[in-house]
Amino acid sequence: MARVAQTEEYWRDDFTIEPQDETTLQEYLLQHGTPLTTDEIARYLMDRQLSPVKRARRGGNGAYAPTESYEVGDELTFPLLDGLVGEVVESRPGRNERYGEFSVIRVRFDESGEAREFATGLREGVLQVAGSAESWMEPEEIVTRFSPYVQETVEETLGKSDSFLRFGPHWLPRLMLVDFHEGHRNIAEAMIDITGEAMAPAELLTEIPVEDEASSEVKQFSLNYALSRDGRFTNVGTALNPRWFLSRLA
Amino acid sequence: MNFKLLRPTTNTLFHIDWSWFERNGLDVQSLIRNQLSPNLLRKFADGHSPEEVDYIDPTTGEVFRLDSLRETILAESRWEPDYINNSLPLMQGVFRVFLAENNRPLSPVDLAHHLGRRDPETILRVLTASGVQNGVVPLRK
Repeated sequence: MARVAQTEEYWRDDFTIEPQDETTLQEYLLQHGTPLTTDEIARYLMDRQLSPVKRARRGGNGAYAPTESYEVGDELTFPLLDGLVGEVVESRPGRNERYGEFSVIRVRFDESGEAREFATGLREGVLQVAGSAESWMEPEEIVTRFSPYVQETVEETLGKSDSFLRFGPHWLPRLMLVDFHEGHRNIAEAMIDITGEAMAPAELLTEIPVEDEASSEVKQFSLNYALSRDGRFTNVGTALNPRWFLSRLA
Repeated sequence: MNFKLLRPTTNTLFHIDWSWFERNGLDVQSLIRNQLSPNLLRKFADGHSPEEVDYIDPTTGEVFRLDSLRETILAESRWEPDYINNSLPLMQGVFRVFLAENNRPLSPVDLAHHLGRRDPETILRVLTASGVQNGVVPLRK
């Protein structure tokens, strides 16, 4: 995966959001406690996929990094190889002028007993020099360049999912939705009717008695979602900053 | 035995069996050399025979000991814009993809993706219809 995640083609043509990703995303939103925008979700999904790359580039905590040096007997984890753990059993000088001076360690993996070789002691950036300028991109650059493709996938996949609801640019798992029943919506109607003015969801919530521990953002999303599906109301603001008015007065 | 079960499909993994060249008295070095652009080919002119070097996978840091011809394909040729192009004969394109992927096992579906084609069935036919070509064979489990 990590290799193809470097390419535009992967994020444009092959990146998919699987059911298990939807579940993870729901859990993340539950922890986060607020709705997220398409862009934020795209960045979360990309970060999640690229986190082994980030860990590997950082090194430390026993994670193999090609710029570090190791000794026989050191134990290393390989985030880019699904977290495989192995022990350095041999070291030799590397042989290739392209990379300058470096060493090669032989690592025997605990699980399979198989031994594979890895580069160590490389100068920073030397792997970029070895390929082309496009052969390696930092995870942050990948997110910046390709998140628009992932946003399209997010919109398409979550739009078809029964588990997510959308209002404007924001998404919320259905299971986090606060129920605004007809009685609540009647109060909103009365408030707008009396003032004769369009009202923001935060204003409406000051008078609607909702007993729920959800965050203010989730309540506002839920109210917006409920009013958008009730023909009595019309949004005269924007999708990002909605203001609700009555259809019969508009 | 049901041979239908053994027949390769568009999802069967293939790879280059390097020993096939030796068994058939063929020169694999010259075939690989033919995939290099004239620019890169100059490196191996004047009797410079390929030597064994360490190729480092730029993503994982894993080291592979390869002859310098294959290493040059991985480190340089594969990034050239016309390394894979529409005018290549299909079998040559397949061979180039395997070289560029360090002989990672790939199915006709994968190969079609790498070659920018939509007909993995054609690739499967070419790989299986008239005996082994360029050492590309189904991967034995």
